[in-house]
Amino acid sequence: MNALTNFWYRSAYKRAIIQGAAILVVVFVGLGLAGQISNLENVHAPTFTSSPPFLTFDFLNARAGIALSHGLIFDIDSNDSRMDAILNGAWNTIRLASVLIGFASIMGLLVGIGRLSDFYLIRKACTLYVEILRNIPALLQIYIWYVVIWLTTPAITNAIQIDINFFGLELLQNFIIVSNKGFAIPWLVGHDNLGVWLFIGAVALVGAILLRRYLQKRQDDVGGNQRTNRYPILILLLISLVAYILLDSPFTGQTPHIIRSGAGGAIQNYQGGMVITGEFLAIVVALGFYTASFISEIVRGSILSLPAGQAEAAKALGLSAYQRLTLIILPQALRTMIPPLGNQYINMTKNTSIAVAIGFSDVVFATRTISNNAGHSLEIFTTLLVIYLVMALFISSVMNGLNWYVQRSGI
Amino acid sequence: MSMSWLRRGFLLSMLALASVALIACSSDDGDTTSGSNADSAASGESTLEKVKDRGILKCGISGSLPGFSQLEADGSYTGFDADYCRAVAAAVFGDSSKVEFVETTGANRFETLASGEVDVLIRNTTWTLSRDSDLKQSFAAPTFYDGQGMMVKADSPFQTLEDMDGATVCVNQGTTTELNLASQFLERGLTYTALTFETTDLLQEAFVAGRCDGWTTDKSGLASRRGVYPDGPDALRILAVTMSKEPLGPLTRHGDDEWFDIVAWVTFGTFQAEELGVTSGNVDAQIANPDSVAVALMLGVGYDGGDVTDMGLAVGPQFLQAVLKQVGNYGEIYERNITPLGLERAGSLNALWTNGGLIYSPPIR
Amino acid sequence: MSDNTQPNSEISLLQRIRMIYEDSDAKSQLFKTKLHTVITLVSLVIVVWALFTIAQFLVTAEWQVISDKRRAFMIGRYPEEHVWRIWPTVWMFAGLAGLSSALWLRPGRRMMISLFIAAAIVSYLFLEFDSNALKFGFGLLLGLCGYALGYFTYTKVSLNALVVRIAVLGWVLLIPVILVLLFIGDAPSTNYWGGLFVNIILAAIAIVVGTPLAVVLALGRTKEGYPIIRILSTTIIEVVRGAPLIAWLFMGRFVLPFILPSWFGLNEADVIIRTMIILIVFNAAYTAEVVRGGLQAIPKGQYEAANSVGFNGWQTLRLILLPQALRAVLPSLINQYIGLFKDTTLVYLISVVDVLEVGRKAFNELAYTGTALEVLVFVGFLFWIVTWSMSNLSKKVEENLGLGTR
Repeated sequence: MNALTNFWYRSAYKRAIIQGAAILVVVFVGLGLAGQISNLENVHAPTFTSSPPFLTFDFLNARAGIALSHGLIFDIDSNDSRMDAILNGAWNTIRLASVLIGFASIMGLLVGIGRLSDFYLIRKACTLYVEILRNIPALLQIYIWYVVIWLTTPAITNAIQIDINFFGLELLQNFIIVSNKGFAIPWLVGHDNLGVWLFIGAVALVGAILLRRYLQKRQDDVGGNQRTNRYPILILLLISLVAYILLDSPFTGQTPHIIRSGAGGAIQNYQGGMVITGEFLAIVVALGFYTASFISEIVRGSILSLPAGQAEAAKALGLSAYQRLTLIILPQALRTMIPPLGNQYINMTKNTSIAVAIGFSDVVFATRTISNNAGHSLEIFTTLLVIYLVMALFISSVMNGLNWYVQRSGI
Repeated sequence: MSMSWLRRGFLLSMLALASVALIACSSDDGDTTSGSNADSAASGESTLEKVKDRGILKCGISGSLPGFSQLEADGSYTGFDADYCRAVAAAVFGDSSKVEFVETTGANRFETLASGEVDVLIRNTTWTLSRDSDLKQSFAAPTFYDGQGMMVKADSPFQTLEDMDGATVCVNQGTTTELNLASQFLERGLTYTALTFETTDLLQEAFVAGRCDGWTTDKSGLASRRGVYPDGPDALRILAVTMSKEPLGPLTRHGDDEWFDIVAWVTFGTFQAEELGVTSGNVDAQIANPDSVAVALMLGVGYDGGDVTDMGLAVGPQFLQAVLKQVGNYGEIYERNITPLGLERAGSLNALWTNGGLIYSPPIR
Repeated sequence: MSDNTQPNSEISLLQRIRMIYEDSDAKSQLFKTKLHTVITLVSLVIVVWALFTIAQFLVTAEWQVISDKRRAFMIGRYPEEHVWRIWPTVWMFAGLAGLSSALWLRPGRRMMISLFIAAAIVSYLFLEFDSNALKFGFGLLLGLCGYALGYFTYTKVSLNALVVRIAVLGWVLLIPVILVLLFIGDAPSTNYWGGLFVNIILAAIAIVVGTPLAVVLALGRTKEGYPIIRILSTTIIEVVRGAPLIAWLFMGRFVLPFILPSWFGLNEADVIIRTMIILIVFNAAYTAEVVRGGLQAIPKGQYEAANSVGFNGWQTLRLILLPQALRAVLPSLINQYIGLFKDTTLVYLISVVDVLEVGRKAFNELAYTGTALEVLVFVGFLFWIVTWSMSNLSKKVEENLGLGTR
């Protein structure tokens, strides 16, 4: 007994001493840093931080003086503040990351399944894809997509315009326009009553969900097929459609076209529709293909980690190949897939910063410009760190939620 | 068995690493591997001492701007800015080859200077108020008076900025031209899209492809890049409009007046030498037998058997001798680097003040 | 060859694939159904077309730029009179690689042949018959000698033990030897470092120094009874992983000089040294998470068993935990290292001229206009060779360790 208590005390002392030492080291380093920074007043400091007190962010309220492009909803003009410019950069990063996540997931899923195809050609093609793409730096792939491929598409003066004709009927002129200024596609434009229509739509959606709940309950209670999906969707569509007609088209589709300005109309720009700039697209395609090669490995690994009996049993039940994949294999594989997938998504979000290489104005780009005009690299670096941490936290909380949902509901 | 060997090997390698660290850190005096071990950022050790301790001047340049600073195939740098780096090295060491060139971009040059990575930044940088006050840099003297221009393809119809409403303009990140572009278009009520690149190389790729309608930077920079344009210089045209004043010159960090004075007076010295007609060709003769008192004062020699006047610059009274012998005066530097770009000096702001330009040195006395 | 080495797993994989997809157990896949036949024919056309296009590109492309810039691609603008600092490590690497492959990998004929084809391509692209060709040839010769040494001493037990020791010692000393050679005497400043050499040395240092650091961080994060150490390690790992490498590189270049202490002139260290610091910490944080995965996979019983035989903490760690943890996560570890090697291309953002930046500068030169694809393909090929051999190496080691089969 005595020896035991002795041991316990010893180990408690040990812990206390080690951890105390750790705290001391942290305090020492922290104080050292603070001292170092506050001592920097004269020669170098101002480019680095305002001195003293350092870590003040007032300079971010000043006029930015520059314009940032590549924005989807808003561009920044020179009268906006520096903070606006950084936020615009952050918005561009978020936009890029969300498109990338969608694109890379779909590509990755297809390639991952393809790598397990029983068909020799598909299997080998997908293997080749993964072996080549994931072994080449992402930056190099961005260069290839931008310099070699995207910049060699025609200039806007020779833009490729794709029309949709249907038996001689010119249905949609300029459906898609491609030039190295970007990819212009049709998009929706809201009119006066859009708000009202959206409100009605939202109410209808809530109603439809409630209806589906009710029908499901009834199906459980009474039995029989109550068409739990069909009726709510039909009702939702019907209400939206009627509202759309009654409200005199709250939104309409719009195809892009090219407008001319400048001397002799020599400057051509897109108008209408949605314009995806070449830089944005090059990054999406390059990073999307690149990350898909990693995601496909996750998909493949998750499928292979399932017990072989699952597929066997499904086969014995007489399910078709497609049914086996979508009903048995993928839903189960999803469970093991989600945690590593979340990591990939976070990595991909951070990887979008490579976009500065081809001048895409993401958050890193914006902060670099501001810090070059205003100094304060410490404050700006801190801001950048916080923005990325928030994004990473957001993604991981979404993925955790998804994980929780999948594990709980057992789909 | 191999485990114990691994351990011993590990220890050995750690010892070796430690010795490397010692070598790297202790060999400051003779070689060029690392800076001095004094804490200059905090204690403010003079830049001159630091440079002398290191035995080499670190000079920030662009590296991809023919005529100003350009990496040659043999690994050396040529150009106007590179020559001014050499001039400062010649003043400090008496040897213009003791320069280590550090390539910087428009977007990282000030941080490079501020962090002490380079001692002086000579990278066709525009002198502005905010760079003096916000960024705490000290501009020595403008060595090249420039203005922002706009370059377009020769076959386009643009003559003025007003012709370019709605244009996409390629511009370098972190430059004054990026800011001027915004204000010029704003004032004229024109819309534009800026396509911003950190490196000029990629900007050119985009411009060649017709991704942008215009390319803006200092006119000298435009002329320089026009000279190496893939489709030949005639494929491009520089508009007459001058969008801003761009006085370009060397700069140092705020707060080290001694070092600032050296850089400033090396620059002024090259102006003064041209004014007095001292060139790399006749400097030896002038040292032996100066033409005038002004020349004697400039070169730090006695006039007519008199004594040397030391005006107390930290690099000694004769600092301009090596500069002029090894690099030359302003006219020579200009002739060697800028004239081939097709930028005529006569009649421009870069002529000597005696010829109606702005190149003017305060008296060296 | 590789198909024969593990017939069981290959067949079972195929069988499992068929269970997922196939409706009938038809033997021939290529012409099983009409759809299969169509796809086969179409892909045949595509393959022929692709091969033709690639061949056409390889023949008509202007490879002059690669040949002209070969020196820059490898070592940037490192001064000619100092290149002697680099060759010995190349030779050392070649000899060790030959020796080790004979000792541990037992490569087959195919691998040796492909190695020689690669060497032939390199010599064709890079070398005129000059002193460099001789030096390169000497490296090849050393590699062959190493292989022969390993091959012929394999069966002689006592000699073999000695040779193994030499190999291990050689690998351990490789990085220190490189560093000593690069810094000793009147060495050129790190500003002159460039080309593939920079990518390799940055990655190597980050791996060699970062991994032990990662083990410490991982242990700190999993250590029970030490909440403060745990919080500290977790914070370091998560903050480093929170921002992209680009942000950290900028931090290393523009913030670090102000906050580093002035010991040994650390605050005035060259960009490359600061980049090394950043990459070491960055790699350590990511590797720590990999190692943590391995540590957590070790069953509790192992700790208890170690305790009961009277091992102390250090012995438990060294003899029980680390060998198991590292072996379990070897594939992820190698993946992390591959990722790091690819990420070294990002150092161009802080003006370090790595191999990709050499290439980008080359195809922007007036003389080489329009050679972007050639340059990028070549640089991509260089990276691919290195990363592909790393991942193949890891597969081979996995096989030899018997991972996944027990």
